[in-house]
Amino acid sequence: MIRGLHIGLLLLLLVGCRKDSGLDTPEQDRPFALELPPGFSMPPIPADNPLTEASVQLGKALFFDTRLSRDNSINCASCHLPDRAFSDITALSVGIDGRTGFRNSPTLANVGYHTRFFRDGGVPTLEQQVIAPIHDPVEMDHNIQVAATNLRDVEPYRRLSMLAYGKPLDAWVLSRALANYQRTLISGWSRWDRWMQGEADALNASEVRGWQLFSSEALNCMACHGGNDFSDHDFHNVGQYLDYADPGRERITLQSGDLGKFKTPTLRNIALTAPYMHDGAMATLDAVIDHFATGGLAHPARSPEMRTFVLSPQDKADLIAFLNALTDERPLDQVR
Amino acid sequence: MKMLRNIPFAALLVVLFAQVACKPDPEGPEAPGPTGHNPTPYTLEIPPNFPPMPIPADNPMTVEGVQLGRHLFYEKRLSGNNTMSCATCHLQTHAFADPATTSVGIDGIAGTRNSMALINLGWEQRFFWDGRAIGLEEQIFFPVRDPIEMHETWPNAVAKLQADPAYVSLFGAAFGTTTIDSVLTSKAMAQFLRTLISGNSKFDKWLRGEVALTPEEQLGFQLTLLEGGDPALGLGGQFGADCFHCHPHGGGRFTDGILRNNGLDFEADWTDLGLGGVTGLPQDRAKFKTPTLRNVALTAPYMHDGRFQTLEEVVEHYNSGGKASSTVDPNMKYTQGGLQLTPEKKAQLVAFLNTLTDWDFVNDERFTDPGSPN
Repeated sequence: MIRGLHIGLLLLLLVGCRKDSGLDTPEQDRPFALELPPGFSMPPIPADNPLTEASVQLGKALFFDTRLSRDNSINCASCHLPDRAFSDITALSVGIDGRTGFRNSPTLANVGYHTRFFRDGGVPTLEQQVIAPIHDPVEMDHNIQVAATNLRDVEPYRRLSMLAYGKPLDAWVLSRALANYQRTLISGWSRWDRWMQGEADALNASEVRGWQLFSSEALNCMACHGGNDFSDHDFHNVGQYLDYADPGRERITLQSGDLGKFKTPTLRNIALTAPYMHDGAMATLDAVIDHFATGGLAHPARSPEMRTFVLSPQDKADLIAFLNALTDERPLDQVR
Repeated sequence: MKMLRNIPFAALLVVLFAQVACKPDPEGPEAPGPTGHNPTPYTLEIPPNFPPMPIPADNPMTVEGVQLGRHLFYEKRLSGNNTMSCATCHLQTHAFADPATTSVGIDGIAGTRNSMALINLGWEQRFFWDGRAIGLEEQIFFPVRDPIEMHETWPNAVAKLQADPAYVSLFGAAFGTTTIDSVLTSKAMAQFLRTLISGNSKFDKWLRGEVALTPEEQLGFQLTLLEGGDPALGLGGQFGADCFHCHPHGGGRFTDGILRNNGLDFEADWTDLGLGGVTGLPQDRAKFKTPTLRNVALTAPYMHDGRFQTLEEVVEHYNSGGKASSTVDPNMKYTQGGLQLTPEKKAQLVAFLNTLTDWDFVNDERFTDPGSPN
């Protein structure tokens, strides 16, 4: 009994210390040093969830842990692929037991700047967003409380949860840690960014011409795809269908004027995030541009910003070249 | 939905919460066949611990399509000099992998990568070691036209098939057209590849309660589920082998399909950039697809370049912790110090890996060379 206690104390001492911090310094959490691209502000951080080193480490471990799904078969990264800017290559993402969802998984780049989550904006915080995919029967089909309980005594969760939030892993901790990891997925280091900061040779002539087309009144892309994140993070109907199988924003607001409205996605890393649109219905940028050139179908809720325009084959190639220059040159993930 | 309209918005939010991200497509799309063409639907035999297989709406499984795909898989006329088929480098006896370190194409030129095993591909989304093909149908286009593999053009390959009345009849039965093209060829081959399901290993039988594993095999399985490393280092180690993050047994696949750098080489020694060669991004360099562990005892040599000849060498690689670099996967946590597995534990791991061999799969007569299509 006493021997057991000794060993327990010894273990406590050992696990309480990081190898690099020295055995006699108690481990302490510290603010996460989030790197921001030039011109980017800090994403808003909720008062009850400071962005700390341990919370982000904890969130990252959870993000890649298949034990968040009921049958241990998929993790968040299964549908938010890190090398595809945390989006999915499949039009409609596949959950456990091969169940098919009804929307395309969006990129998580710069999600910390969003104010409403999911393509219909049905959830107001990143912390709350975390719960949905874990519970959704066609995604992970699990229960956040059961998942948290199962991992509570498992490392690294025990150590990081105590360190970051001062209590063992539970649903509250799990949702906050996953939210914080997602906040660190910042995108803003593309060749276009370097060019904007004055590196004239960061873009070639075709890409510069594409940027000029993109920012022109005629194409009007920047009515919605403006700003640092190439998105107003608002909801618009772009006339993709006359009759939407997915009501989009209307599902939340129940206003018929919101039918077929989906959150404007960022255009950053768009070369990696195919297929496109809320349902992944368009496989290529070519198809997306063709759609926008038509001005969209005349749905009653279609955005008044939609314009028709004509592009020569060269114009289109330039526009696509510009879009392809929006890929980050460094990993979105800053957690080491 | 009408009833819900009357309840307060906040309550509605809660109701919607668990469903917001996804719900099943209400009307699954069906590919209508041409009139007068009625192929027989093919029923896949999915092992009980596996999820259903996602089948593309535009390529439903048919008995005729699978049979055609089987002929095509063994068809040497798909290569430039009619000497190689898919099966030349994907041998059923090796769970459709190649025992050669790197496979040799029709011109006697060796490729740079080891041929991957073809197991349970219907559940995979990305193909090749570098993940460059998305979807099984797309994957099939590559080896035929690769100059160091089959080195044939698709128009030539299709013309050779079109000139053979036996193929004209097989395509007619499968797709209702006598005009052969590369898209239909890839569809038929994808259908055949989707039937290559392995889920009857000793491990599966143990999961189903039909056989017992030896204590050594069971301990090996336990080790795969434990975090690696020394707990005293404070990284959550359990002195396990830490396999399960990337090779989860849930869903039956023993891979999560993600592309990673598993620490084979230091940055200065990177010759094959893997995914980085596809995306051109520095953060993707030296990342390769996580392969399944099923039938791993039959699929030597190992790794994208076939550098390891035995499972013992593979286990030793992970035990060493691998080599640190700018893209090494975070799950390779012990590039300093290694996993420190004892010789007993290493033997247990190999014993467990051997339980994943599925002899029914490698002896299945439905997958063998059907001979000339006459």
